[in-house]
Amino acid sequence: MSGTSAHSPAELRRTAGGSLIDWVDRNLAFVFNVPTVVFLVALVAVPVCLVVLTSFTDWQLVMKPEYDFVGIENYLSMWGDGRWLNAIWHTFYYAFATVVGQLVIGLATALLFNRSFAGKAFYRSVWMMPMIAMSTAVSLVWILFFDASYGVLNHFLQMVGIEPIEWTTSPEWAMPSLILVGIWHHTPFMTLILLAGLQSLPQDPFEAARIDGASRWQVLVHVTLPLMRGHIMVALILRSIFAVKEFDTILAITQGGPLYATETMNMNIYFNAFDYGYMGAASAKGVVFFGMILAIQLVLVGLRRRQWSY
Amino acid sequence: MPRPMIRAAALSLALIAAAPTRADVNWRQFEGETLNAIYLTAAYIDAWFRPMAKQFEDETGIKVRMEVLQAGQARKKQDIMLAGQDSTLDLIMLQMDNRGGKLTAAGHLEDLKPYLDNPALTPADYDYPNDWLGGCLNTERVIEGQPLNNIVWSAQAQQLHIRTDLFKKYNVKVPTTMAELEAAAKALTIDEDKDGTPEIYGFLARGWGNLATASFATYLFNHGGSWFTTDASGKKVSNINSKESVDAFEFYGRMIRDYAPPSALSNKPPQNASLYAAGKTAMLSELNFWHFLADDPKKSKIAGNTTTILVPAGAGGSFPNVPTTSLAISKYSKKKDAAWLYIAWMTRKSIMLEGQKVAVPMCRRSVWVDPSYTAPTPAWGASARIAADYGVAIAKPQAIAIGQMRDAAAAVINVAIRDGSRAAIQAEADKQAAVMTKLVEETEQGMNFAGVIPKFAKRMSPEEQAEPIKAEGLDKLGM
Repeated sequence: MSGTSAHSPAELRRTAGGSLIDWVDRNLAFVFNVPTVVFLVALVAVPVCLVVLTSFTDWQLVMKPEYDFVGIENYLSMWGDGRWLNAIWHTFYYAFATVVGQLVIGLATALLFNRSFAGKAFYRSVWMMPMIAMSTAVSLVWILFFDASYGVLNHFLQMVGIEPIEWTTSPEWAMPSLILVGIWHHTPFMTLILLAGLQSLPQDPFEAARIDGASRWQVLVHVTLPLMRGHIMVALILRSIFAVKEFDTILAITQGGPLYATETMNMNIYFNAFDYGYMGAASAKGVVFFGMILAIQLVLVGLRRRQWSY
Repeated sequence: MPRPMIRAAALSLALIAAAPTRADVNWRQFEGETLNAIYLTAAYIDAWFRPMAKQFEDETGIKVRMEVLQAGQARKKQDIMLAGQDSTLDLIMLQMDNRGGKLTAAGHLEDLKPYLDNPALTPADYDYPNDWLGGCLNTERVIEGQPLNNIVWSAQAQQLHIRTDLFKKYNVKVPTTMAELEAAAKALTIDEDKDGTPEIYGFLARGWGNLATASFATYLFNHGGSWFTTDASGKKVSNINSKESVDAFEFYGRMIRDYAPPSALSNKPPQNASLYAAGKTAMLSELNFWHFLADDPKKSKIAGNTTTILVPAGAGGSFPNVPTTSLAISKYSKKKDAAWLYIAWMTRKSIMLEGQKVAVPMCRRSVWVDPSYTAPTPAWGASARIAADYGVAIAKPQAIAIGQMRDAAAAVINVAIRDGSRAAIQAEADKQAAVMTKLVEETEQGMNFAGVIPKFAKRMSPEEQAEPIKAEGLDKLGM
C-alpha cells in the first residue's frame, strides 16, 4: 500500500465539499448554463437595456453629459428627419439588391459546383476566396478599382468605348458601386450554404423526374428549388441580417456619401452618436433599427416554417 | 544687530532662497509619473513627438504614454473619455478650429493660466505670448471670453504647392490672384499626345466629403465669403449662400472639374499628395507639411522641383488658412501639474526649434529666425512664416455642431464640382445655409463664436503675398 487510500464517491460526499458536489450533481443543467447566461447578460442584455434607457434621454456626448429624460421625443422627432428617412430607404435598397444578387449568383454557382468537371476543386477554392477576406481590405482594393483616374473599371470601360463612370463620387452611382462590392464579397457564402444544401438532397426525386422526361429547367424549378427551400431561407435570413447591418465596407468606401447617398441606418446612427454626439437620439434610432431587423427576421422565419405544398 | 532682527533677516533670506524662481523650474519634481495622451496621427509624431518624449523622460523622469490615432478616431476617443470624466486621460492634442469650441463650451479643458503664471512650473524664458506668431494666437481662442485652455504649437498652413520646373519650362506666371491661378492651371494642364487625357493636370485640391471644407476655406474667405456672418439683429447665421461665397464654390468647383484629375472628388489628402509627388499635377492646394513627401527623392518624382506659395488673393483679400494644433490638459486629469510641465517643456524654444528643423512649422516666432534653422526652400519658409503670422482659423465652420456644419458645406462643394452651374450651387447653398443657421440656433444659445474673420486679423499687403515667389526667384516668370 502507498499509504493513500482511495475514496468511493459515497465517502467523498461525506467530506466537507461533499454537499457542494451533491448540489452540482443535482443542478448540472443550471450550472453549465451559468457562464453563458452571465456572458449574455453582461455583454448583451445590459448594453441593450442601457441603449433603451438612453433613447428616452437628451444625452449629448460632449455638450450635455447630464441628461434629462425626454420621454418618447427622440422616437417622434426622427420621423421628421429627412436624412434618417433616406437612410432607411438606403438600408433596404442595399440589403435587397445585394441579397437578391447574391442569391441568384450564389445559386447558379452552387448548381455549377454541384456538377463534376475538371479542376472543380481549384475553381471552387478561388470562388470562395472573397468570403475569407476582411471587409476593410476588400474595400481598399475596390477603392482602387473605382478610382476615376486610374481605376481598372474605368480603364476597361474606356477600352470598349464607354464613358468613364463616377463610381463612388456621384450620388447616382455610389450605391450601385457598394452593391457590386457587397455581391462580390458575400456571394461565396451564399454559394457555400446552397452547395451544402444541394449535396444533401435525396436523389430519388431527381431520378423520378428524369424518368418522367422532365427537362433541366423543369427539374430546377419543380424539384431542386422546392427541395432547397429550407436552405435558401437559412441563407436569406443570414445574409439579409448581415446586409442590413453592413457598415465597415460603406464606411471605408463612401463614408455614407456623396450627399448622404449611401448613408444607411447604422451609418446614420454612428454619425449621430459619435460625430455629432447626440447619444439619446442615436440610441432611439438604434432601438428602431433593432426592431426593424427583428421584424424582418420574424417574417423570414415564419416563411421558413410555413407548410409549403407543391 | 539684535537677535530677533537677525533671525528675521535669516528667515527672509531662507524664504527667498526656497521660493521657486522662474529661473529654476525643477524638471524632475514629478519623477516617476506617467502621463496618458491621445494624439492625432501625423508626420510630426514620428519626426518630433516621439524623439522628444524620450528626451523628456530622460530629463524629467516623467513617462508619456502616447496613443496616436487617426484624427477622427482620436477625436471620438477624446470626446468619450472627456464626457465620461475619465481621470486617466491627461494630455489632449486638438485643433481649436475643429473641436476646440465644443470642448471649451463643455468645460472639458483645464484653464492653463495659473500654470503659466506659476514660476515653479513655467521657465522664466518661456515668453508666452510674446514669442508666438500672430496667426497662431488668432486660432487659440474660438469663443469670446474663452480662458487660455490650450497652448498652440504648430502652424501648418493650407498653401499652394507648385512645380517650379513646369512653371519655368512653360514660362507661366506664378499666381498671386485667383484669375492668375486659373490661367496657370489652364496653361499647365498638358496633353502632349492629344489623346484627350492630360499627362499632367494643372491643379489639384481636396474634393472628398467634409475633408474638402478645410482646403476650400481659403478660397471661400479670399473670395470675400465666409462660413457665417451676423444678421441685422446681431444673430450668427450661415453665410455660405452669399454672392461671394457662391463665387468661391463656383471657382473651386470649376478648378477641380476642369483642371484636376477625375479622382479628385474621391481623393483624400494623402492620395492628392501622392498624385502630386508622382508628377501628375502642376499645383496642389494642401497643407504645407506635404512638401516633405513631394521633396523626398526616395518617394517623389518631383523632388527638387517643388515649393509652396501662399494661396492667391481673391476679391476679399488673402487669409492664410492655418489649422493650428494645440496641446491641452483634461479637466479631469489627476496629474495636471505634470501634464503642464510636459506642455511647457515641449513648447520651450529649444525643443520647438528641434521640430522646426525636422520641418514641423512651429508657432514660436524665434525659431523661424534662429541661425541654425534653414527652410527647405526659400518660398516654403517665407510662405509658412507669413501664414503663421497672418493666419486665421477658418478651415472649418466654427460651431458647436461642427460635424453637421462640415457635412452641409461639403454637400455644396460636391454640387459645385460635379454640376457647377450657378443655379445648382446657389440652390444647394441656400438649402445647406438654412441647415447651418438652424443648427446654430439649436446649439449655440448664449455663446459667441468667432465664426467670422476675427476683427484682430491683420490684412496682408500685395507685396507680402508675392514675397515667397520673389524669395524663390520666380517673380519674373510669365513676363
